[in-house]
Amino acid sequence: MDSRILLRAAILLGVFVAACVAPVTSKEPLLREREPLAGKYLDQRLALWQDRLNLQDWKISIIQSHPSGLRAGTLGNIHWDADRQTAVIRVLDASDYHMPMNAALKDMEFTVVHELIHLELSSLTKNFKSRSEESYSGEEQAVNRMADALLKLDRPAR
Amino acid sequence: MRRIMSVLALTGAFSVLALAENFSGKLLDSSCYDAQKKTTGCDASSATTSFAIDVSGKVYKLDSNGNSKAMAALKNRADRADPTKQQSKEVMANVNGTEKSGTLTVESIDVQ
Repeated sequence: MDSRILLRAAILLGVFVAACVAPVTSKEPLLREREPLAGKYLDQRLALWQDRLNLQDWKISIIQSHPSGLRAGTLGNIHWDADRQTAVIRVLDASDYHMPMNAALKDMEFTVVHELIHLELSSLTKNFKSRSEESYSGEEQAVNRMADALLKLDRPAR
Repeated sequence: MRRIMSVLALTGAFSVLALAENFSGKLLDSSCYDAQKKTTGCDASSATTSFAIDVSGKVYKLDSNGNSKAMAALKNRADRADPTKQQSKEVMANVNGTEKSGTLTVESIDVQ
């Protein structure tokens, strides 16, 4: 009798330990579920980053675009109207990312932060009549580094 | 009399709107295109001041208002480049306006 109880306890303990140490496998959403899920997530993150970057006065919206709606070789863009303080950020549609959903969301958030930094910097160049390609290229590299730094602070290494 | 004037004004407005067309294609540097007489290597850039649009092989110039709008549209935008791909220099645009003698009177322009 005692040995049966001990055996059952050992099995239960084994099952419990196995459940605790098993890797967490999150279920991947279906392709058609990715866009609405990403939309909700990005709207939340946009509000957070607008607040952090002190861009609350701007009316900013996010649109997920398929590659045909973006310039070739890009993952997103931003168009703004400084007088009206409105901006539209386009990000590559979640269904066009060939990676797990979590990784796609991280990259889409990177695009949002990246474009918000461009918006933040736009006031510095708004009176420029024209700019060289080198100037744009330099800004792009600086914006990437800043976005990377901000997101590293936001996502501490685990 | 007032009614007649209102009807005439509305008719005029609608006839202008009805003539407006959508022109989609590659935005070009018009000065470059005039000099080279070909579209290759004449993509519009942030330094462009006079624009044209290549709509399926037919090139239309933009009027001065269109040039201002195109310059503003190019200035007030930014991309995030994909580090794994070569970024295209082509600028695609949608122009809404009316055409006369190869020049577009631009009402609005959307740059990709």
